[in-house]
Amino acid sequence: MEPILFKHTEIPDLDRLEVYVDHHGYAAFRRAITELQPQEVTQIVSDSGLAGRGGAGFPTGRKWSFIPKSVLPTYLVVNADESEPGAFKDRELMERNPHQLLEGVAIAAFAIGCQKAFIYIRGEFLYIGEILDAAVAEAYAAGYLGQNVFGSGYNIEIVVHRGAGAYICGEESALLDSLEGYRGFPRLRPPFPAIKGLYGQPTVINNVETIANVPHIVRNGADWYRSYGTDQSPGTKVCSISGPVNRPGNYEMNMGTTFRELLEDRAGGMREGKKLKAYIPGGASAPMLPGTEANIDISLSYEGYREAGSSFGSASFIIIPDDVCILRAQLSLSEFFAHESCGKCIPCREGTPWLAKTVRRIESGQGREEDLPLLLDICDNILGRSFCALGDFSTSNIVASVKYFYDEYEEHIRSQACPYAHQARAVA
Amino acid sequence: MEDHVTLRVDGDEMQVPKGTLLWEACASHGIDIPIFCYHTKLGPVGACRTCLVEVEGQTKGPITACSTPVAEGMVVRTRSPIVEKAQRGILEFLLLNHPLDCPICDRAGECPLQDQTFSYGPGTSRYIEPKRHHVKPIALGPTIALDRERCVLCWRCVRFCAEVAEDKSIVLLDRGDHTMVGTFQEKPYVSNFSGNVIELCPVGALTGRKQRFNFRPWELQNHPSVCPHCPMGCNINVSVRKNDEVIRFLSRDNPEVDDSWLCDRGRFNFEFINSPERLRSPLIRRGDSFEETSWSEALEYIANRLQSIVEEHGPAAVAGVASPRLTNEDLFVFKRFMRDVVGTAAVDHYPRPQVALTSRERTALQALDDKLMPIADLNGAGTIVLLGADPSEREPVLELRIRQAINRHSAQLVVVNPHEIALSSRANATFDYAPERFADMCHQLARGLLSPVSTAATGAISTTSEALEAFLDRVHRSFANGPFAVIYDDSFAGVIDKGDALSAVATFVEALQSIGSVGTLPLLDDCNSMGARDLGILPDGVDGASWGMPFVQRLSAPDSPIRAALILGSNLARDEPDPGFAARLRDLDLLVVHELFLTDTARLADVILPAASFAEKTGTFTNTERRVQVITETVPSPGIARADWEILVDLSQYFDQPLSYTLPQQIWDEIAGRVAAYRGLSLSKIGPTGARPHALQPA
Ligand SMILES: Cc1cc2nc3c(=O)[nH]c(=O)nc-3n(C[C@H](O)[C@H](O)[C@H](O)COP(=O)(O)O)c2cc1C
Ligand code: SF4
Ligand code: SF4
Ligand code: FES
Repeated sequence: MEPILFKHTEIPDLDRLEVYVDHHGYAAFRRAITELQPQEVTQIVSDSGLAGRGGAGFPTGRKWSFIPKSVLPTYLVVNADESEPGAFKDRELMERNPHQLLEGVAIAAFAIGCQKAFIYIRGEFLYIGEILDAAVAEAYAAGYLGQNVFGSGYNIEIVVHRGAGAYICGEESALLDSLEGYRGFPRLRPPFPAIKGLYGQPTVINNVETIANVPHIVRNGADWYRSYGTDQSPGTKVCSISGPVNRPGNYEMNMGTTFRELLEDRAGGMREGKKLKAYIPGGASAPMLPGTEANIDISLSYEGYREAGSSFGSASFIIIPDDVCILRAQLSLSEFFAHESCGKCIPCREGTPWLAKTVRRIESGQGREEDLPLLLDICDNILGRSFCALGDFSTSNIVASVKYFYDEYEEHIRSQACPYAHQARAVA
Repeated sequence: MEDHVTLRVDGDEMQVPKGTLLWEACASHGIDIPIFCYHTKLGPVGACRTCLVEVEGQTKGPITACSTPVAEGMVVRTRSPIVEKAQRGILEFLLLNHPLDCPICDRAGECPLQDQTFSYGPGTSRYIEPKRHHVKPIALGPTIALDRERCVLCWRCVRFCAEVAEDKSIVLLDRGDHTMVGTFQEKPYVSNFSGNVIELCPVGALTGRKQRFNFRPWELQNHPSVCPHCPMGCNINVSVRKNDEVIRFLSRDNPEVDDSWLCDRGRFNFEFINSPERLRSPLIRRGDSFEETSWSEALEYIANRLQSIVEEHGPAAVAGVASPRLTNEDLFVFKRFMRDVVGTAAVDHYPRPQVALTSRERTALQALDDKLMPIADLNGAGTIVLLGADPSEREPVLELRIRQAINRHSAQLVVVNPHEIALSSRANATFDYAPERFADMCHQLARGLLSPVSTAATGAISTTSEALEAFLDRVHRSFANGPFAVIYDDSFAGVIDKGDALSAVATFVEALQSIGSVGTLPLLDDCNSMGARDLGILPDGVDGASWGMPFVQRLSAPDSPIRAALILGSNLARDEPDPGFAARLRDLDLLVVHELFLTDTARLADVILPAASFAEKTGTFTNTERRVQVITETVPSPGIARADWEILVDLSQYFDQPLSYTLPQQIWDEIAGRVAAYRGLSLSKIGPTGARPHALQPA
C-alpha cells in the first residue's frame, strides 16, 4: 500500500515547504477555498467516513456539521496533546510532515467558518513545537496562511500553544480550559464544545491524525478514501507499536488488515526469545487481550476490536511479553491513571490511587483473598460514575487483567510473593 | 403549561418548569437526593457524583441530578439498586482518607457528610491503605481556618470566590488525590465576605477562627433576626447557647435581600451582645463619677429635672436625638414621648446627612423616594449606575447583588465616583470627578443625556468642543440600556455642596428617564435609617420642609435654646469632628443617655440608662429598599437593662400624659395605622422575610 499520511517515509525532506508543495502540497486547500463552499467540504469529509483518530472514533464530518451557522467567531482546535501511554503517532506526523497538518487545519477551519485555529501541543514535545512554529511562519510567508489567502478574501491564522504536562489536558474540554489559561479540568456537558467551546464560542476539537487526513480526502475525493479500509472503518490508521518487538515504531496500516501483519510483517515480530503474552491495542485506556492466535488475527479496525471486547482507540499497541508479570504491567498502568487523575471528581480522585495501592500491595506479596473482588468492585464504583472518561479508562485494564490473568493474581496472593520477582527486576 | 415538562420520578408524575435541574425538581417535590458539591446559590459543577440517579434510556449509567436539566417524558429512579450502590460507593470513596475526627469537629451534629453517610453510606470501609495526611488546621486568612484532611473537595468555597465574590482567592492546588484547597502562593484569604465559606462548606474543613472549639452545634438554638450592622438588612439566625449567650450569626436566606450571603462586618460582629462591658443598671452622676441606682430613682430624677426645665424655659428647651439603630417601635415611642409627653418638636436622629433641607431639596428627596426600587429588581436592570456610591463600603452584600445582576442577568455597570472602588473593575464605563464636585458631575451627565450627540450646545461644560463631543458620545453609549437602577450615597460624604446634592441626583434621574425607566436605591447610614426617616424623627424646617437644622448645628449655635437633651444610642461626642461639641453637651442642664456601653457621650451624661441591644428585644427595622423586617428577642438583657421604648413608657408615667404601650406589636399596629409610609402594613403581612409597603399597593 502506498502511504497516505506517511509519505515522509518515502519522500525525503517533506517537512520543507518547497518539497511539500512539489507533492501537491496546499493544492487541496486552494481547491477548497477557491472552488468549494464550506458545506461542500464538510460533505466530502462526511462522505469519506473519516472518524476521529483521537480515540473515540466519532465521525468527523458530523462533528463539523454541529457548528451553528450564525454564531461567530468559531474555533478549530487541534488536539496534539498525545499523552496516553503507548501513543506516539501524532508526534511523527507533526515532526516529519508539519505542512500536511497545517493544510488540514486550514481546510477544516474554512469548513466551519473559523479564522483562528489553535494547535494545542503537548509541552514536552518541545522541539516539535519549534518545527510547527517554523512551518507556520513559512506558510504565512508563502501566503498559504494569513489574510486573503489565494486572493479568496478568506483569512486564516494558526496559533501553536504548548501544554503544561497533564494527561487530562488531552480530554477535549480540559484542553479548552488549559488553552484559555486556566488549570485543565474537564467541563460540564452540556453545553457541548460545538455550541460553547473555546471562550464560550462554537468549537471543533480534532486529533492531529484526523486533520492530517483532510487534505488527501479533499484532493482525491470521498470515494477514493473509501477505497481504503473497511466499510465501517474507511481509510488507513497510523499504529504505534512498542515493547519487545524487533522494529517498534509507527506504521500506517490499511484498516482491515490484521494485527498479525502489523506485529509480524511491519514490526518484525517478537524479539528473540520473547513470546506474546498479551497486548493492549488502543493505548493505556483500552482493555488488554491475551496473545491468543485468534486475538492476533483481529482486523485492525474499530469494529474488529469492539467485537473482541476491547477498543482500537488511538491504535497504540503495547506488547506484553511472557516474562513480564501482568500485575507489574497493571501497576504501571494504574499508577499512571492515579498520577494523572485531575482530582475533580470523587470516584476517580479517590478510586484510582486505591486501585494502584491495592495492585501494588498484591504484587509485592501482601495480597488478601478479598482483594480481587475488592478491585473489581472499586472498578464498578468508578466506571460510569466518574466525571470524564479518565476514570473509566483507569478501570478497563484492571477488569481485563483480572479476567484474563486471574491465576496470576491468585498465585501472587497464595504465595505472598511475585512469581516473576527475579525477572521483573531484570526488565524494570 | 407549555413552559413546563412532565417527568416521572420513582413512579410519581411531576410537572416542573422547563430548564429546571433534576435535583431541584425532585427537591421541590420532597424527594431527597444526596448532594455535596451542588448548592442552590452556586452553579452546578458535577464534581462529587453523590447525586447520581438512574434515567431510563441513559446507556452510560447513572447521571448527576444536580447538573441535568429535566426533559419531557424523563423517567427517573432515585432509589434503585444501581443508585443505592452508586451512592454507597461514592460515600465510601469520600471517607477513604477522611480523618474521622468527628468527636472534635465543630461541624459534628450539623454536618452533611455525617448525615449523608448515615442515610446513604456503607456501614464499613474496606480501605486498609495508609491515609493521606495534611498539616491541620492551617490559617487560610485572618478569619478562616482550613482543615485539609476533612475537605471533600466539593468546590463550593472555590466557586463562591470565583462566581459570587469574584475574588478568585480560594483555589484548588495540585492534582489528583493531592488536590487541596488553598490560595495562590499562600497569600492570606482576605475578603469582606469570607465568613460565607464557613457556611457553604459541607464539612468541618472551613471554620471561623473566632468560633473554633467554642460550642457544639446541638447546644445551640437558632432565632431568626436581621443583621443590625448596615441598612441592607440581611436576614440572620442568631445562634444562642443555654438561652443567654450569642455564639454566632448565620445567614438566613432571603432571596429578596441577601440571597443567603452575609458580609464579615455583619457576621462576625456579635460579641458586643455578651460583652462584660455592657451597662447593667442605671447610673447617676455624683460629681465626677457615676453611681448605680434603681430604675425608679433614675426615672423620677429625670422626670423632675425635665419638668422643672420645661416650667422655666418652655418645652422647646428639651431636645431628643435617637440612633437609627433603634427599632421602629423605639423610635415611634421616642417621638411620641417628646411630642406628646414633653411637648417638644425638637427631635432628630444621628447619624444622618447633616443638612437642613430647603423645599427644593425636599421635593428632590420625594422624587427619588417615589422611584425607590426593590433590591431584587437589580436583576432586571439593563444598567446599574453607582452615583458617588460605593456599596462595598456601605452595604457590602449589595455588592454581591450587583455582581449577580452583572453575571447572571447581563446588567451593565456604570461607576460614577472620584475614586476607584471595588466594583470599578466590573464597570462598563466609569466617570470620575473632583470629590467636592459631585453635584456638578450629576448636572453634567444630565445635560449630556439631554443633548443630542452631534450638537455641542451646552456651554456649561468648559471644555473644547472636541472633548465635549467625546464626552457626550461616552455618556450616550454608557447609558443606552434601560431599565436603570441608580444607587446613590445619601450621606454625600466629602461633598461640599451637600445642600445641592439631592436635587442634582434628582436632575440626573429625571434626565435618565428620557432613555428608560429608573429605580433608585439610597445608601444610608444605619440599619434603621429608613425607618427613622419614615417615622419623621427629624426637626421641622422653618419653611414647612420637613428637615430643619440638625440637632448638632442647633446645639452649637450661640443662641441655642436647648437646656436638656435625651440621647438614645447616638455617640455624638465620638462622631462629631468639632472638639467643642462635647463641651456643649456637658454644659446642658440635663443630659440623659440611653446606651449599651459607657461611650464617650454617655460619660458626659447626668443619667445613663442601660438599654437592650437588638438581640434582646422584639421589633422591626426598615432597610434600604423600605422592607420592614422583624427582629425577635433571643437573649435576656444584661442586668436590668431594658428596651428604649420600655424605658420611655416608664418615664412617661411620671408625667401628666403617660404612654400605655405594653407590647411591641401594639406599637407597630399603631404605626401601621398612623404613619403614612406604613399604612396598612400589618404584622401579619410582614412575615419571616419582611415586606415592602410599596409592594402592597396595586401597580
Ligand atoms: C483523559 C483523556 C485524554 C485524552 N487525550 C487525548 C489526546 O492526547 N489526543 C487526542 O487527540 N485525543 C485525546 N482524547 C480524546 C479527546 O477528548 C477528543 O475526543 C479528541 O481529541 C477528538 O478528536 P477526534 O474526533 O479527531 O478524535 C482524550 C480523552 C480523554 C478522556
Ligand atoms: S474522572 Fe474525574 S477526577 Fe478523573 S480525570 Fe475525569 S474529572 Fe478528573
Ligand atoms: S473546604 Fe469545604 S467548601 Fe471548600 S472544597 Fe473543601 S469541603 Fe468544599
Ligand atoms: S451534587 Fe451532583 S455531582 Fe455533586
